[in-house]
Amino acid sequence: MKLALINSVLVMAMTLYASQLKAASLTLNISNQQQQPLADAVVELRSLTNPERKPQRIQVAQQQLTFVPFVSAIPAGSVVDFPNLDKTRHHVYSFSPAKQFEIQLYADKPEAPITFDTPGIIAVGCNIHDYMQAYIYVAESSLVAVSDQTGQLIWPDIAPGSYQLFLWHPWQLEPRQPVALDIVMPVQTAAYTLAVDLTQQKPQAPQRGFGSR
Amino acid sequence: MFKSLRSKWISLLVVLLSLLMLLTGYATLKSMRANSMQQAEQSLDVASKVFQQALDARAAQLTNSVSLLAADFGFRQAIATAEQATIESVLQNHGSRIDAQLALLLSPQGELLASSDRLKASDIRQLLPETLGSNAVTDILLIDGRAYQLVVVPVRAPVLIAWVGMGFLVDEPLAEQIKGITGLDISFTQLNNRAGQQLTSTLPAQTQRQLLDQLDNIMAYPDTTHFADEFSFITRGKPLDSEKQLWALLHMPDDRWLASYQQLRGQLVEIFAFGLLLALIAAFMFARSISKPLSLLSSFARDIGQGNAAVPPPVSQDEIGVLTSTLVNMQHSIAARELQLRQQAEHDALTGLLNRHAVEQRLPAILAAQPGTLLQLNIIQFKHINDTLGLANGDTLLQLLAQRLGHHQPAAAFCARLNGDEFLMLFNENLTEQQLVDLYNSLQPAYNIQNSLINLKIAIGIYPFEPAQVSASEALRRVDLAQENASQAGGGIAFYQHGQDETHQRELTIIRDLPAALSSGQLYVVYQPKVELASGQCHSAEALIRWQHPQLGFISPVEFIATAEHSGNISMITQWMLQTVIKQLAAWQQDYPTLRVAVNLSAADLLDQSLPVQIGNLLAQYQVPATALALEVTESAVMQDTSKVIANLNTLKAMAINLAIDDFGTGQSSLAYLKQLPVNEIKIDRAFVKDIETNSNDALIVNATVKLAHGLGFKVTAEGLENQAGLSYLQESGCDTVQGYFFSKPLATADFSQWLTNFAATANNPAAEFSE
Repeated sequence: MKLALINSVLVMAMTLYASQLKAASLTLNISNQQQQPLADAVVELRSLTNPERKPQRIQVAQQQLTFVPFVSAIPAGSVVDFPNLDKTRHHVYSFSPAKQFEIQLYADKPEAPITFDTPGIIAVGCNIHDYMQAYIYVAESSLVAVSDQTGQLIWPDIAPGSYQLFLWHPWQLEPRQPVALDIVMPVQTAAYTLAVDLTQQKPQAPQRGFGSR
Repeated sequence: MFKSLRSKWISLLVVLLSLLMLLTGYATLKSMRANSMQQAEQSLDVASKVFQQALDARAAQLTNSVSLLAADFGFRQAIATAEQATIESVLQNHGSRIDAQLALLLSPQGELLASSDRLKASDIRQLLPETLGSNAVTDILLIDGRAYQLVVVPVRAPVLIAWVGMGFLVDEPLAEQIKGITGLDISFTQLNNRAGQQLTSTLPAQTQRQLLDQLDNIMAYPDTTHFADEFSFITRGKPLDSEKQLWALLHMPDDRWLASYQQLRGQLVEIFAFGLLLALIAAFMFARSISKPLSLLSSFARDIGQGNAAVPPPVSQDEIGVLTSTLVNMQHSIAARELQLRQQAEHDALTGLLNRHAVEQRLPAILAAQPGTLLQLNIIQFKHINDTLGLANGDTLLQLLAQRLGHHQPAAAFCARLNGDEFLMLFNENLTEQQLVDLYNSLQPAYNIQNSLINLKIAIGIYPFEPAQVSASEALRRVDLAQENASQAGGGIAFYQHGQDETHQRELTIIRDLPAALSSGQLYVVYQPKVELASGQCHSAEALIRWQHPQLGFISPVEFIATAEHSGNISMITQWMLQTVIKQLAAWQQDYPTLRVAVNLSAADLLDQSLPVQIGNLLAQYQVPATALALEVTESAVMQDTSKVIANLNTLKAMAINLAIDDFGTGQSSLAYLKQLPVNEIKIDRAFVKDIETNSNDALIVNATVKLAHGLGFKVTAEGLENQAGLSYLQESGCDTVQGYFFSKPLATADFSQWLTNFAATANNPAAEFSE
């Protein structure tokens, strides 16, 4: 919070300078309540002035009986491929209200990608591998990304201006309200903290056959 | 009750053993019971854990079932539709797949979405905290008064989209199932809803009703063991749900955990009874081993006490043996002392001969068995010898005599000293006359006493006897009589004469019967008149005593008075005589005021100085004048102790009592005394009177005597006049009064009165009377 306050003062002070800026670089560092880098955190920046949306095409592969990546973030209207890289078949589904779909037992690549039109969080599972989980964050904005292993997200070329910042993580303890972010500096850095359930681990394929999870 | 040693011993042993056994039994049973109880509690602990494990296992099993159900894709898909009707039907459908009696669906936040039985949110309120987690939850729930084991499992697709709950009734089949595992009866019950409460139980219906009363207590203290007297199970209560509403009760029947205790108790009772029996037998035998020798000793001691020949019981090595030895020693000591005592008791200390007591002991057997001769020896005038030689020499003399008796041949069966100078000898044969003479002669030679030769006169009484004829006392009396005779003869030998003993017996009878005869009226008085020759009138009489004995018949006064004098009873007769006569005189005072009656006194009476006082008292008592009484004494009586008799007579004469000398002329008359005697009258003995008409000497004596008496101032009475011829002689000689059969024999009282009256009527013509 203290850091956030300093940032605000800094942003207020740089407003004049920023109005003349064409492009800026934004680096965000996300950490958990123990100040450790938090991976797989989704950050969405919604511009209040320029709500442009550019659909993407990504893939969530099934590799070694896990979904890869664990967390994906896409703007609404994007399409997702679910290529099966394993020898076994998978039965990918979601009952999430934002998008319910089912790709029944298949191998290799499904016949068609799935289009996610509605913003929201889609939990993806496999009916024959209960432990397999993946999350797809469908954002209203195109400025949405997932933190890497170091908890860092980088937008190298972002239009300066005022944004609403949404922070989400599958293991977050409670929903987080959006915060304002003004980009006024050519190179701007910010850090955010999110409390998560520290006991959770990424789904992993069991080491040996039946009986263990 | 405990008098004998045996019963005391047995009682002591039994009481001690009982006490010991009771204490042991009590302690053993107490610890056994505690042990059993501990084991029962342990069993209950184990059973309780098994029970919990069974419940947990069931929960795990149910959880698995429900988890599988929750993972069913179709189920998840149906739930994802969020359509109420679809959700309810899928709950129904999938619930019945796993036989759940209750099915419900909760939102991820724990809100009730749907249920099979229209549950209210409040029913499952307690589940809410559990649903914050992500794992399956099991609990026991009370819904609508029924208990369910509820399993709530998260539904993931793949994130948590709902909680599905399946409920399974906690009911009797479950109880039976757990009973099958734990072996205990199980009841399920609830804390609330007590009214009309129903148990779910494997117990019989009867027992269930008893259990209802115990519930309050059991539920107040969970997980402790409850004992109740009226309930034949021990019970442990176990709350099943988190709110402690539903309880499981585990029951263990008393007889199972008490079985070993009761078995031990039974065994203890058997051991106790057996031990008691053994103790009784042992005590009995031991007591017998003590009491039997004791009772033997006791009878041994009793035999000793009774003087029997007692055989001592065998001497053992113990204390009783010591006692036996002591008793045997005592027996020997007693025997020795008894022998000594008998020796002393049976023998005369001076001569060493048997004494009278020994003779009386031995004689009866000898008299009964055999013939023989009894001799009694007596030294004539031994008292005189004693006086002369001194007592010591007298004793020496007796010893010498005893030696001669002891050495005499043929030897006597025994010699005894009866008393003083009397000795007794017994021979087992009839001695010949020569043998007796030899014996007598052997005693004659002089006895040497301190170099003085003393000759003795010996009197020997002899009584030969045949077997079984006389008693010992009779034999002794007879030989004594014989010796008496020999003594009276001045020494020598006298045989017992047949009949001597009978006379003696008659005397004994008389002496014995006299006192009773006096009081019972066998003795009576007769009166013989004395007629005055000068006037021809009768004014006096002599009272004479008579005895009509019931067995002996009439007894002569001479006989019984002599016997009474010998035995010292004469004063008794005199007293009776005086009283009877004076009493009769009192009766005659009116009709015959001048009558004087004479009573005879014996020598013993005259020596009694109280006689005048006694007579005076009698006269005063019957108001009879002294002149009416006369007393007659014999010359020989006067001669006994002249001065004392004369003093008595003087006193009597001073009382104005008429005194006469009886039987004058036949006794040891002394004319010297005659003049001193204060008498009024002499009575000439009948010996001179009865033949006076034919014997001129008698007439001469009577004449002279009358003259002598008159000269001395005495009246004269002639006794024993029997005929008319004698009367004229007496008249001639000058006798004053005459007494005899010529006038009258002695008459009884009434007859004498009559005679007096008749005689007085004819008294006016004495000549006619006398001349008849």
